[in-house]
Amino acid sequence: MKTKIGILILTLAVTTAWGQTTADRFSYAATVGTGIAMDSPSKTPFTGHLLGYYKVSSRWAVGLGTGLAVYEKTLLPVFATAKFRIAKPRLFTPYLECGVGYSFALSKNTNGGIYWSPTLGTEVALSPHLKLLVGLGYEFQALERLKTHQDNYFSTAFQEHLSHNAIALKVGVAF
Amino acid sequence: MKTLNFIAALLLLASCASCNNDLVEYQKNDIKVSIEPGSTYLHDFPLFLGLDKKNPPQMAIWVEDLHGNYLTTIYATHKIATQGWQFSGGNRRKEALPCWCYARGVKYEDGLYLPTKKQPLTDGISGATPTKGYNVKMSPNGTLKQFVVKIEVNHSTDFNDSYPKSAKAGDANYSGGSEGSGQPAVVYAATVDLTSGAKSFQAQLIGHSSPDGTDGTVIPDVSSLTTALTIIKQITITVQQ
Repeated sequence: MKTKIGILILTLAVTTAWGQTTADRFSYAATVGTGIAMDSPSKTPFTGHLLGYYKVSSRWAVGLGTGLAVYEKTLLPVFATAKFRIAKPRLFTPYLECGVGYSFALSKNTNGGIYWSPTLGTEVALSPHLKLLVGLGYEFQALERLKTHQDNYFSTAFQEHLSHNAIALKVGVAF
Repeated sequence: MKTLNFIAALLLLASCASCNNDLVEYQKNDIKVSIEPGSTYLHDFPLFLGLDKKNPPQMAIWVEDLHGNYLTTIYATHKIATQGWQFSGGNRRKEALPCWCYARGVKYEDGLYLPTKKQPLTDGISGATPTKGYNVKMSPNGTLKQFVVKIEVNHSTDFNDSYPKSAKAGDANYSGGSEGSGQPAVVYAATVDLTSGAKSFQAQLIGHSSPDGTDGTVIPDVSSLTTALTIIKQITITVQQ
């Protein structure tokens, strides 16, 4: 509940900030991603994110993102993100971005967990208002799930804590 | 308008998500096995370039009858359950938890008693190695009222003077080589009697396993062990009221 209230406050604060600025400071992005799992147990993640950015300066933008993340269970990440363009906008504009947040569980018998993902990528200008995004980074996702088993002697159950570390690959579009 | 739509979608999605909670619910007469980590629960495992990784131990929990006959496995950590070792240099690590392996008595294609990637342990009883204390719930299904819960615990590369890295195969203190155990696994046991009226049972250290994993014996003399003795602080088995 506290988390939901926190999200509400955050979104209201962002709404207020957005209301005080011009529309051209906003941009959006949609990305899909996967990764190379680095843990045992490992699970190749699949993610789809929608992001909204507020341009703070010519180089910096901050925003919020959400979407879906599929590990052993399906999660709903909600995260804040900060993006820094390493160079002035041109055909290829390299950037650094870091998203930090929390993923909620959408499945039964599952708890979500902390999410964070720094990325080094590049924007490829396809048109004045459309850019292709290609990024390589790291992704951390924690979650918990219930595991159960039954045999002739006992029914067993325990809460498994999973911390997934992965090299993350992301592609998307910004508009 | 686009902005408001985005915020509305964000809130809607967040409200759909569930909140964190205890996933394991206990009812009367359920049994809880609680593992409390000791001071050396996390062990520096060497990676490369002098970098270490804090590794939790491998562990198995199983049940035997009062005569020492294996009945069932309650829990095993993922790596031993699936041959999921990442930096073992090809070592199958038969020295990791030999007491459990031999008690279970399942022989695999390569002649070892260790589950393999192709034939892993049942998924429902194996889990990612916990980095802190944890609990396992067991609810009796049959008429079993008296039994022994055994727990075997082991760190890899936990060398000391008695079990050095330099020990060679065939030496009494050989423990799998440079990627092996070092100090052998330690074994705890608790005799649980559900007819006694007692609601709490403390597992006691009963010895260490075979250093090189060649058999499933338990050696009561643990005087050669150092840090292996403090991997676990306490193991308590409680009957829920």
